[in-house]
Amino acid sequence: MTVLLQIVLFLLLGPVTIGLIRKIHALLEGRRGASLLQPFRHFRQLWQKETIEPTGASVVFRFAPYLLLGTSLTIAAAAPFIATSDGLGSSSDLFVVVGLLFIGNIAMALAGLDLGTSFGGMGASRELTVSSLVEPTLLVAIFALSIPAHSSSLDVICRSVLSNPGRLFAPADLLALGAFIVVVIAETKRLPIDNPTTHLELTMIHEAMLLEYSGPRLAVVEWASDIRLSLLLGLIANLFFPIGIVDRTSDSYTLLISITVLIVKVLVLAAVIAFAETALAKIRLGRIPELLSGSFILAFLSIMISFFAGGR
Amino acid sequence: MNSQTLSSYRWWLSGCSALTLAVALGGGVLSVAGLSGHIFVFTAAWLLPIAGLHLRLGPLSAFFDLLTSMIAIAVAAYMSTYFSRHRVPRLTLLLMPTFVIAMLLVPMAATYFDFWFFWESMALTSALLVLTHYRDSTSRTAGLFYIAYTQVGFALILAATASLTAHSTSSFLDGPSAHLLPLSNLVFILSLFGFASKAGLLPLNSWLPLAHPAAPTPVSALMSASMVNLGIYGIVRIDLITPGQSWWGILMIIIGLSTATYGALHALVSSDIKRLLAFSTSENLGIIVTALGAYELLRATHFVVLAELALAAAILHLIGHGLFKSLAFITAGRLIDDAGTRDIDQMGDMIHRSPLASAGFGVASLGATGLPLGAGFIGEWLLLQALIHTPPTAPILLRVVMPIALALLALTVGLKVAAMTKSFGIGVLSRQRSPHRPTIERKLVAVSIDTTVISLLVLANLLFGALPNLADPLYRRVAKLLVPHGIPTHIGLSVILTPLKGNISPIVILIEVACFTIATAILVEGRIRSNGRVINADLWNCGGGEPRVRMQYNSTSFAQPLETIFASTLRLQERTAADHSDPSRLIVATVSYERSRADIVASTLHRLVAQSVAQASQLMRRAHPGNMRLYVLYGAIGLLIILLVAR
Repeated sequence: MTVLLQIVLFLLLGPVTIGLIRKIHALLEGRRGASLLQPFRHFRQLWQKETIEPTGASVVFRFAPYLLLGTSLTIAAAAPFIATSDGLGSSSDLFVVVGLLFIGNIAMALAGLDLGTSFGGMGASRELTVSSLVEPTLLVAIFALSIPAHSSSLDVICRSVLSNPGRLFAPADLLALGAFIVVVIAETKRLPIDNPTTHLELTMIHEAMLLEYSGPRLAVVEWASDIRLSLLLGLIANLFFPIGIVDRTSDSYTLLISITVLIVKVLVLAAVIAFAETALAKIRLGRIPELLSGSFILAFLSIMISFFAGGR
Repeated sequence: MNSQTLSSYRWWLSGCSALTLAVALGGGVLSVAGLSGHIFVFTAAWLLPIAGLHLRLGPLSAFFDLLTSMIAIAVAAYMSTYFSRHRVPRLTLLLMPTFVIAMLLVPMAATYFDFWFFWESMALTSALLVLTHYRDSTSRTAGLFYIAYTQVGFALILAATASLTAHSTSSFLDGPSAHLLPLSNLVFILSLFGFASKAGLLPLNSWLPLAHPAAPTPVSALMSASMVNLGIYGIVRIDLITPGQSWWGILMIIIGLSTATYGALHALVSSDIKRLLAFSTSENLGIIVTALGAYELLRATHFVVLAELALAAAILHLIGHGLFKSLAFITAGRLIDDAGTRDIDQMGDMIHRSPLASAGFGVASLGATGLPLGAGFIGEWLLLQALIHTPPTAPILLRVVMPIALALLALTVGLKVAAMTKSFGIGVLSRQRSPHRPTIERKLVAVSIDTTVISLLVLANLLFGALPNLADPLYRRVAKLLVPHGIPTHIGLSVILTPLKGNISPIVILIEVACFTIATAILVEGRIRSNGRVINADLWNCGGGEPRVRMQYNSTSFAQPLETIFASTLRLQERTAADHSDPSRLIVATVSYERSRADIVASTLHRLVAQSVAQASQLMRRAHPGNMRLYVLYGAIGLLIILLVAR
C-alpha cells in the first residue's frame, strides 16, 4: 500500500519539484514564469509526438530510458519516504540505493555513446567522471550516518533518529548533511556542477546524452531525471529530519499527514536549491574535483567526530 | 596447408579439448565430493622423487578446485572453437590439459615439496602458453616478464615455506603450524609477496597487463579467472589458517586497496580490451585481499562477527570474479575475432555485428562494476558492511583504517564503473570505426559450441547475481575451517547479517527493477507505435548531421577528464605541436599530439632492481681485480669456513 503510494507520489512530485525551481528562478529574475504544472504539459506534448529514431541505434539506446525510470521507481518503492517499510525493505539499504542510481547513470551514458556522436560521448564521459568522483564522498557519508544507527539500512537509520531526536543537529550529522548536499547537487547535475537549462552543447553534462532522444522516450528520460531529483531531496530530508515518517501499519489519516510533511520537506529543499542557484555560476569541469574533495573532507570529519568525540 | 595436416590438427584439437574437459569434470566431481565432507588422501611415495606424491583434498582445497574446474569446463569447450580459428603449435594444445591438471593439483598438495612441485609446473606450463606466439617480439617480452615475476614469486614462497618447515618436523601443509615462532613475521611477509606475484597484486603485478594480451584468449581466461585464485589460496593456506597479528591484516589491506585503486585507474586508461580486463583482474584480486586483510585484522582484534563478514565477502567475491571474468574473456575473444583487433578504439558497433558476444560482455561488465544486479555486487556489499559496522568502541587503529579503506574502495568502484562503461560503450556500442570483414568463416558446430558456452556463463552470472545463496554451502565449508567456533553469516535468499543490522535480497532488487523497467517499456513502446510510424532518420547531432567516424569519442577521449585528474599518478605526459604551412605562421597545416603514461610501480620497481644489480656487480667487479694472491686468499677463507662448519 505505502509502496504504491510512494511510487505515485514521486511520479507526481518529481515534475512539480522542477516546476517550483523554475518558477522561483523566474520570479527572482523578474519574470512571471510558467505554472508549477508546466512539466506535465511538456510531457503530454512529448507523449503525443512521433518518435525519430536515428539510424544505427541499438537496443541500448531504446531501452536505457526505461532502465533509468525503472531504477528510480525501485528506489521510490523501496526506501522509507512516508512510512518505514518492511516488505520491500530489503532493498532500502543505502548502498543499494547508490548502486541503483549509478546503474541509471550508466544506462544513460551508454545511450549517449551508442550513436557515436561527439556530444553524446562528451556527455557520457563527463557524467561518469563526476559520478565516479562522487562515489567516495557518498559512501563515506553513508558510513558517517551508519555509525550511530549501526546499520546502512535507510529504515534503521530513520528509526534511530526518530527514537533519539536529540541528535538531530549533532555536529557529526551537520557535517554529513553538508557532504550529502554537495553529492546530491553533483548527482542531479544542478548548478554549480552543471547548468540544466543551458543551450550550449559544449558545456553540457547530463543534457548532452539526451540530444538524440525524441517523443515519448524523451518524456521518460526527463520524467525520470525529475524523479531522481525529488528522490534525492527526499532522502536528504528523511535521513536528517525524519520527522513525519510513520509506521507502516498506521491509518490513512496519519499517512495523509506524513505525505504532506514529505511534500513540504522536498519542496522547501527545492526552494533552497533554487535560491542558491541564482547566486551561483557553473564551475569549470576541471575544478569539480576540488568541490567534491571538499565535501569528502566534510564526510570524513563527520566519521572522525562520531568515532572519536564519542559520548553518543 | 594441405587437408592432411588440417584434419590431423582437428583431431589433436578435439582430443585435447576433450581431455581438458575430462580433467575439469573429474576435478569438479572430486571437489564436490570433497566439499560434501569426504577427505580424499592419495599417497604414492614412488611417484615423485625426493618426497613422494602426497595428495589431500580437504574442504579448502576442494573449494578452490571447484572454482578452477568450473571455469576450466567453460574454457575447455571454448578452446575447441578458438584454436580451430587460430592455429597454434600442437604443444600448446597439449599444454592446456596439463595446465588445468597442475592448477587442480596445487590445492591438493599435502606436503610442501608437492606444493612447490605443482606450483612450479603450473608456472612453467602457463609461461609456455603465454609464449605460444613466440615469433612475435611483444609476446616474447611478455613471456619474459611473466617468467621473471613468477620466479621471483616462487623464490619468495620457497624461502617462506622453507623457514616455516625449518623448525617443524612435519613437511605437511596442515601439520603443526610454525606461526608461533619468532620467524612468523618473516614467513608472512615473504609468503604474502610471493603469492602476490601470482595473484597480480602490487608491487608484483606488471606481468598481468603484458601476459594477458599476448596469450591466446582461452589461456588468458584460465589465467585470469582461476590461476590468480591460487595466489589467494596460498595466502589463506599459509598465513590465515591460524590467527596472526593485526598488522598483518593492515598490510594486506594496504596492498589490496592500493592494487584495487591502481588496477581500476589503469583499466580506465587502457584501450586494449585484454589489457583492460587484466587490470580489472588485478583490481578485483586487490578487493579480495582487502577483504581477507579485514578478516585478519578483525579476527586479531576479536570482532569475530565482523571477521566472518569479511571472510564471506572474500569468498563470494572470489566466486563472482571467476564467473564474470571467465565470461568477459570468452566474449572478448569473440569480439576480438569479429572486429579483427584488440583495440577498442578500432572496434565499435559490435552489438550489431556480434550480438551474443556483446550481450555476454555486457553482463560480464555489469558484474565487473560491482553494482547491484551483477555477479560482483554481493561480495563488495558484504565487504562494505564489514567496514561500516566497526563500532565506536573499537581500537583506534580500526577506527582510522576502516573509513580510509571504505573511501578507497568507493573510489575503486567509481573508477571501475567508468572503465567498464568505457569498454562496453566505446567498444561494443557506437559506430563501426574500421572497416573489417570477418575473414574467418564459422562452422555451425563452432558457432553452437560458442553460443552454448556464452549462454551458460551468462546464465551462471545472472543466477549468482540474483541468488547468491547458491554459494552458501561452499562458503559454509570454508568458514567452518577458518572460523571453527563462529556462526557464519547467513547467505540465504535474503542476506541477513544477524546479529548486526542490515540485510539485502538481490532477487527482490532484480524483480523490482525488472518489473518497473519492463512495465515502462511496454507502456512507452506501445505509445510510440500508436503515435504513428517511428521515423528512421540520420543523426540530428545538434544540426551537425552524420558525424565522421573519426569524430566519435574514443577510449582516450572518454577517459581524458579522469586521466587529467589523476595525471600525477599515471605520470601523464602530453605534447602538442603544430606545423605551419606558411611563413607568417597563420595557417596550421598539421597538428601532432602525443601522450604517454607510465606504469609507475613497474618502472620504479624495475629501476630499483636494475640499480641494485648494477651496484652488486660493481662490488663483484671490485672483488675480481685479477690479482692471484687475492684469489688464493679467497680459497683459503672458503676452506676455513668449510672446516668451521663441518667440524
